[in-house]
Amino acid sequence: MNQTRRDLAFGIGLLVFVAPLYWLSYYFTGQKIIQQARDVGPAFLPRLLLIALAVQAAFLIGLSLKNLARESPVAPPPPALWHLRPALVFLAFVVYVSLATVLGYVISTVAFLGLSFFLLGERKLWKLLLLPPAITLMVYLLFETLLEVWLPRGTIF
Amino acid sequence: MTAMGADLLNAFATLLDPKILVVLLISVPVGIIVGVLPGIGATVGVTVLLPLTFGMEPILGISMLVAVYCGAFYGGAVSAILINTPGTPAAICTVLDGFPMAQKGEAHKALSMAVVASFLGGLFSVFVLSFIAPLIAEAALRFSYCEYFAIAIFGIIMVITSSSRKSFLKGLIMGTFGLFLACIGQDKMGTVERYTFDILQLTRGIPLLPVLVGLFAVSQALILTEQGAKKASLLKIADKAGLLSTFREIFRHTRTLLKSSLIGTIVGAIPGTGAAIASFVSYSEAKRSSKDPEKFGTGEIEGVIASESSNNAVTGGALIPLLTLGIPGDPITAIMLGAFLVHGLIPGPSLFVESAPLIYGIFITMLATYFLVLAFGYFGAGPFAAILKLREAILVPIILVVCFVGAYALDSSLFDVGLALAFGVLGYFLIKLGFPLAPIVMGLILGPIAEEGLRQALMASGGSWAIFLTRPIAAVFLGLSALIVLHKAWTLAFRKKG
Repeated sequence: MNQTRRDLAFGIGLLVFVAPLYWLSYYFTGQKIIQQARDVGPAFLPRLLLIALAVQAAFLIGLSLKNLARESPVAPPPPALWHLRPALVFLAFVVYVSLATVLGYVISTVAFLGLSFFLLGERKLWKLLLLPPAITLMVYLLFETLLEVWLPRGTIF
Repeated sequence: MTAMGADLLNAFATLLDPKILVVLLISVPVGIIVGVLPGIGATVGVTVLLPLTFGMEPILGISMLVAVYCGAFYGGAVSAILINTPGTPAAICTVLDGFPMAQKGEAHKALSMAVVASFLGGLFSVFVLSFIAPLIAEAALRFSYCEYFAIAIFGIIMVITSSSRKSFLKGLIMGTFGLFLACIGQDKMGTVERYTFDILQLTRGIPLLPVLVGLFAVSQALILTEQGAKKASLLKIADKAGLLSTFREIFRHTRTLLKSSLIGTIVGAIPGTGAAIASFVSYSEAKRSSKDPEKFGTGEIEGVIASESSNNAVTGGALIPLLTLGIPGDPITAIMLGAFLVHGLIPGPSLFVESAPLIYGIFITMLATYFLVLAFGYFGAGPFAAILKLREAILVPIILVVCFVGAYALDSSLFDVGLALAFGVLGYFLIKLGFPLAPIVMGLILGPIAEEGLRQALMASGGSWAIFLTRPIAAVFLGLSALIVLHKAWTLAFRKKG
């Protein structure tokens, strides 16, 4: 998908996003009492912004359609929308966050750092073995001991 | 002696606190390091380090962020000079003459020029900040909700303009989206819940910190992973330039130095502009007024002086709207606003009355910061350059761990970590789609100010928008905002292809 088509898809997606939110603005809890008293109630700005977003989305769609019509068929493709490496690192990060409440900060962080270093191309064994515990300990000492900022506790540790 | 003068003198006592000195001694080199690393920069650095301030006293925490901020602006010059890649966008013009100087074997001279120019530009802006900010704050005490609404809208429009060079429409969409995000949660002027979907954590609104961590740090870390492990080809620092001779050489270009520092301070004070613009304007002006403009781009010292003095002068200028009006002008000052809020302080004119020692303490620590930037920058050029050999494979996971700790630590909330993750992915794809992220943050921060101002004004006027025209300052700011949007819309609709 080229950049113009991406913009077109984004514009359509934005319209789809905006419509139910506008409808929901009529159902804010306690809305009716306040609206009877004032026109400039809690739904005033959200609605104004959603209308603005819809208009902007329409502009984006219009511009994209205009650009599509005059686009050269041999236009160079834009950079890929996603890559495997960030996807894997992000997945590891999600698993890390999920496991932190079970395993606790220390074990989950050591595991995450080791895995991420490996995923990102680090192959030196001493770095893979020594850096994760060293960094974890440093962050732990810095936050918990020195700054008294509490890190996640796990159910196991 | 005026009250302001007395406050400033008293604030010097801040530096007698050994904790402040230790914080500055650690933060300045950390700031230089984050500035040195291309792709990290001041915004990511300040975001990642923000959680460290949670357990500190306000003056310590805010001084730390300010020191990182100032250090990073100089740090950007190191990579600009040695690897032809600016560590921060602010150093983009430093590349033009700094790298050619390094190629000619004058790397240390270029770095020394950069650090002394950064020092002098930074000092200039701190002096301006110290004397101008209290005056603006005093005037701002008379502002009503009309002015605050107008300034908030102007701030957002300026950030959209500066961050959306490719597509103003995309920036506008992001700014509006940010304002919409600010509407989520309990209505500040009542008890109505908006878009909370019965999620308890959302009743307090979308918290700023996870959004900052997600949009600026997580998304950037993910972008960095794409580039893979690549080694920078680093030029060697073979020469040696004396500090005194560097000062002497710089003072031969006093006109450029003063002009660039002034441009940097003024540009920094305008919301939404930033150091890259200041650097461009100063560089162009130095080139225009030079007797040998053709030498620019070939290793001309004046080019380095213009770029570095102006981009560091932005630091003091950018704090003017934040401290006096509570309106951040760029993502970094937005993060600093977050630091103020974490400590229960609301930047704005009343802060000068309620927490004068803190404000003047910040000014003084900023002065001290620039002396440390000079010392670390001059004597530590070699070690800082070695940082450029650090690989993404090591850097990115560390950033992500600190992001996790940062998003979690403020409220010990995994919900906030989830938000940071969600905004991280959103930010990653928005960058890919060519949407700027800064307007989202500005919308989120300025949304409550804008909404309260707008609703109060319209309620007072019985729903008439004409109330904004009866207040000159509000009318000017709204008029300027409207002009910018109309001009951009006109360009968009009627520009010819090519």
